Amino acid sequence: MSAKTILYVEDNEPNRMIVRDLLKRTTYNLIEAYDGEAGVAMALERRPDMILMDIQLPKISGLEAIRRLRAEPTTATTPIVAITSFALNGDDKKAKDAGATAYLTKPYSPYDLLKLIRNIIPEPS
Amino acid sequence: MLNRFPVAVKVLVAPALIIMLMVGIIMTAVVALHQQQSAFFRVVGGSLNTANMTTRLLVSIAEVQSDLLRYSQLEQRLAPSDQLLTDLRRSIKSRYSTIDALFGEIKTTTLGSGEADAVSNISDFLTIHRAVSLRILDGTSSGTTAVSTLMAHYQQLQSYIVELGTRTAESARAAEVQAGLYVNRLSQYILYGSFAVVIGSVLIAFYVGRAISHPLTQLISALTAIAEGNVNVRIPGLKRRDELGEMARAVNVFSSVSRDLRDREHLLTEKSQQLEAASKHKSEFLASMSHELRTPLNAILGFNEMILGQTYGDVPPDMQAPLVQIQASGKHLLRLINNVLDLAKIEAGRMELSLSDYSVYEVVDNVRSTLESLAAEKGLQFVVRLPPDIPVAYGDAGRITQCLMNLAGNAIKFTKRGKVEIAVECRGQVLMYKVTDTGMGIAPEKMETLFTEFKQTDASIANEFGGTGLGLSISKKFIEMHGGRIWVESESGKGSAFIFEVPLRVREGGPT
Repeated sequence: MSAKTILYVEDNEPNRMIVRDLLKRTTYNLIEAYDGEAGVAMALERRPDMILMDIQLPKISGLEAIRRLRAEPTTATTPIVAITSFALNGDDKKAKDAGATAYLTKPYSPYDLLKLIRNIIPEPS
Repeated sequence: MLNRFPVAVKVLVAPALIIMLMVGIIMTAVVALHQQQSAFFRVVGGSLNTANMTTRLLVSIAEVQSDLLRYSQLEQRLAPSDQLLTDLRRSIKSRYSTIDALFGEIKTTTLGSGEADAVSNISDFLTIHRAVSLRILDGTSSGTTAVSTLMAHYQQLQSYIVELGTRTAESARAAEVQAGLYVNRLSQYILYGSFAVVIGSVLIAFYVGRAISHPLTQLISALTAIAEGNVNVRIPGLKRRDELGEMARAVNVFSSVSRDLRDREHLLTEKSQQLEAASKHKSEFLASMSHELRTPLNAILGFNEMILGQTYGDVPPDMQAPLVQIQASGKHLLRLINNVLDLAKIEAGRMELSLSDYSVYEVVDNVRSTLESLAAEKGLQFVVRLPPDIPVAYGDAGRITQCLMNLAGNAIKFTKRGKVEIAVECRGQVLMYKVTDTGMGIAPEKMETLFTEFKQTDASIANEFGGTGLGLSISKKFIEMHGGRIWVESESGKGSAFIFEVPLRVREGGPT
């Protein structure tokens, strides 16, 4: 079974580095995008097994990116985890409404994130 | 204009004017009828008198004529000095006096020109008749010739007298016709006059009514306009000198007051819009601030956790403790940021509860699992007491958890030995959360300020235990937003009990 690909859409390099380092010792293959538009384009091109989507992004917001991905047949059912800074109430609901599979609040524990990933797309044993 | 007369005067004068007009027309009618009556009496009475005189004159002349005829017959048979003739002579002369008297009276009463002609003719022939008669009586003229002449004169005189009678009757008839015409005209005048008075009265009543109602209507429409919010209404009748003018000036004052009020209202609306905009900006600033602060904090805590988790290889034993401190301080910083942001959101009025069904058991379990290790580290007994029959609650589970976490966290923080207990009770429709500790307790005079922002009971405590003192005031606001209340029961040195009550099921759109 081939390695599973995860797309992380995030504009902050240190945060991307955390996930990059976190997944180094796993079988997951990480690809990265720096803004919403690039994220959507990469998702459609590479068809990842899972997407981690930051909500506060340049160009188009993570919510809008999720909506666009859900409208495409190739990514309509791809698991998407929305990551937000939990600025205002109702962010979780907005993410769910846009079509996110799960929701994570910053700051998140890297190991909790790994657990969540493994729950949604288990590594081949 | 008439505006200077008070309404009261107008109201009193108008009916008086109408009554005066009525009285005027009635008086005119009475006077005219009275005059007509006099004229009628004069005409009819004069005619009657003339007719009467004329008849008597005719009779007297006929008597004279008869006496003369008898005289001329007797004269031939009797001596001139005969007593009978003497008597007759005297009788005839006296009859002439009567005729003169009657005629004199007729002359004074006759009026018409036709009658005057007749009267003049009668006068002439009467003179001739008398002259002839006297000649017969004094014997200068006698015989059949004189009598026949006299007869002719008599007939002529008779015809003139009859003519006078006819003329008099004619003039009486003419006067009658004229009187009838006059009465007709007069009754028409009275009719027209009454009609004019009625119209005049209606006009006066209308004018007075309008003089009162028109400015009132204008004032009412001005007031209506003011009431509808049109502040630049021109008040009519401000310069009137009557009661309506006073009213208009009062309305003007009212209008300017309401204009002021409107201006102030506009100002207030403007200010509140500015405030709303400011609050919105603040809220947007908070949202972006929250993101800006959490993103680096995420990296700090994330990297540190991975270092501690040996993702980057073995951690030297000396570095273990500092790394744990970094983690704890980072989390503390996060809590402070959360508290400050929460409080700012509450103050900006942007804090909203996210209401849903929730399990009290999950809330308490969440708090217990988070704080258990902390209590254990301090060697405190950590007890949770929950009855098994608490129904599903409705409210903001996240905020309730935050409040309970605050209270229990504080209890662990401020208790050096003994135990911390979390208990929940459901009494009817009220949920009561209670956190008791065996800490130092709180003095009564310090309990009041406990839930106020940035207040801790003692500055030294803040130094010893840390914290911003925001937790309790935020908890208080969240509980109040649920429609509940929070309080503390404590005795200095004997521990404290922090208790809050919230409705089991929070009403949608209720107290916030």
